[in-house]
Amino acid sequence: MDHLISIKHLSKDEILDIVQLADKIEKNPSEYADAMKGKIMANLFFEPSTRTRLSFESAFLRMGGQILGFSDPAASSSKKGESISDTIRMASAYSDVIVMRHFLEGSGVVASKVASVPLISGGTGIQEHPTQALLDVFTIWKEFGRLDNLTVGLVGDLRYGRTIPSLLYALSKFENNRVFLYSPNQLRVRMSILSDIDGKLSYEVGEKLPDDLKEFDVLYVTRVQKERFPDEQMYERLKDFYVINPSVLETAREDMIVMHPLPRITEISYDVDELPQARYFQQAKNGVWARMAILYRMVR
Amino acid sequence: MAKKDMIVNAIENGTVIDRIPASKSLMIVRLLGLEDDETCSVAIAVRVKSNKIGLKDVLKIQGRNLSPDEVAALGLIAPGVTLVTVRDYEVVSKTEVEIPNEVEGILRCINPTCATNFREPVVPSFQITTKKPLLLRCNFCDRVMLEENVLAQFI
Ligand SMILES: [Zn+2]
Repeated sequence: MDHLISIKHLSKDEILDIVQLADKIEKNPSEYADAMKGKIMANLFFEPSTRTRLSFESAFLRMGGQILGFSDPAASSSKKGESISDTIRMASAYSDVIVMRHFLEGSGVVASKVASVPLISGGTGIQEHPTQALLDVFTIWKEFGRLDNLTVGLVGDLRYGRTIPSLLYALSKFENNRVFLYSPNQLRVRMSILSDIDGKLSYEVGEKLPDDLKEFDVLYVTRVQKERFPDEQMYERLKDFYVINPSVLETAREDMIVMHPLPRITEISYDVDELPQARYFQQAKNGVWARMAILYRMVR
Repeated sequence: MAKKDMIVNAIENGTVIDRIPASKSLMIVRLLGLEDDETCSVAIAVRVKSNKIGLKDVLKIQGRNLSPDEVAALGLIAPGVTLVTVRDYEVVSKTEVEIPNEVEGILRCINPTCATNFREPVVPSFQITTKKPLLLRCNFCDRVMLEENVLAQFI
């Protein structure tokens, strides 16, 4: 793995390797405390992000590395008109690994063409968010001990949520997974993504959540993102399309897990936090272990 | 060849694109950037009677050969045209242009937030995912383009 831009390019074995390594690291973090000693990670966030950036920083610091970067695009030279390519060339000279979040689709491929150190995408526009998918499958694997034969419901904005394609690609690498894709019509999974998973992952597209959730192993909820809508009215109409609360989850099995890439707004009510199925905070925590594993594999 | 040579004179060195579906010749002129290319001269015959395809256009370009990328793009907007290379008034090759599997340059990505549409030192490139109907996919942003999105770039 030279760069991590898309889950499409990872094999099943590479995904399992990251998951198993993340597990090892979580069980014995002190063994990895110096793994990145003397290394520098450049964190280039062209789009504001708190969670992903802090999660990467925590992962690298826990392995003894040091960090430079920016998280406010206004402070970076990109606002002065510098290209992605030039910024990446510069960062390649200053660091041993680059993490980049960018608001443009295709920015990861552009950056990977000039990066001379490993480049990890922290999200590229609406396109993909590969490290989120890896921490998601790590969370699922911890729960069920497998990544195949799973029934997963995905709920919310499946069109603009960049975690969705990456997660679908990851699930499509393993046998007998079934996904149910629930979204308002306007926010359906993009056709190009469906054609990618076609034949590899069995899927159904729908708008209304089923009354009975007992088939599901995972209910993956996403936020309707205000910034993706050109007009406010559409956002207002769709933002509360799904609200997962204890009564919605009444039929869910006790061992089903509710996941969410966070931040959540209203799509999961606070009283779900207390239910046995809630797993989103642990999921966020798993992000650090999964990113440690990714960095460990890529920076050697 | 005799009949069409009566309409447009034979060329010494360059390219003839024959059997162009009627009305597509101006698109090809734009695709090849012939309007702004002062190094070659261009003759266009529009709505020539053809036994095989009814009416066709013929384009003769004196002093210019097509690059592989241009041939690929030509195959997207007018598959089935005949591409003839002429040297010293002799036909040195004659091929039917097919829909390519990949195209680099010439086309732009229709996704306004694709990084290739910003000032980056990269050449946009696309995979042809299906030929009928024509579907392309940006190698950078994964955006899918239809035939009409391709044609619209040369109207
Ligand atoms: Zn693109």
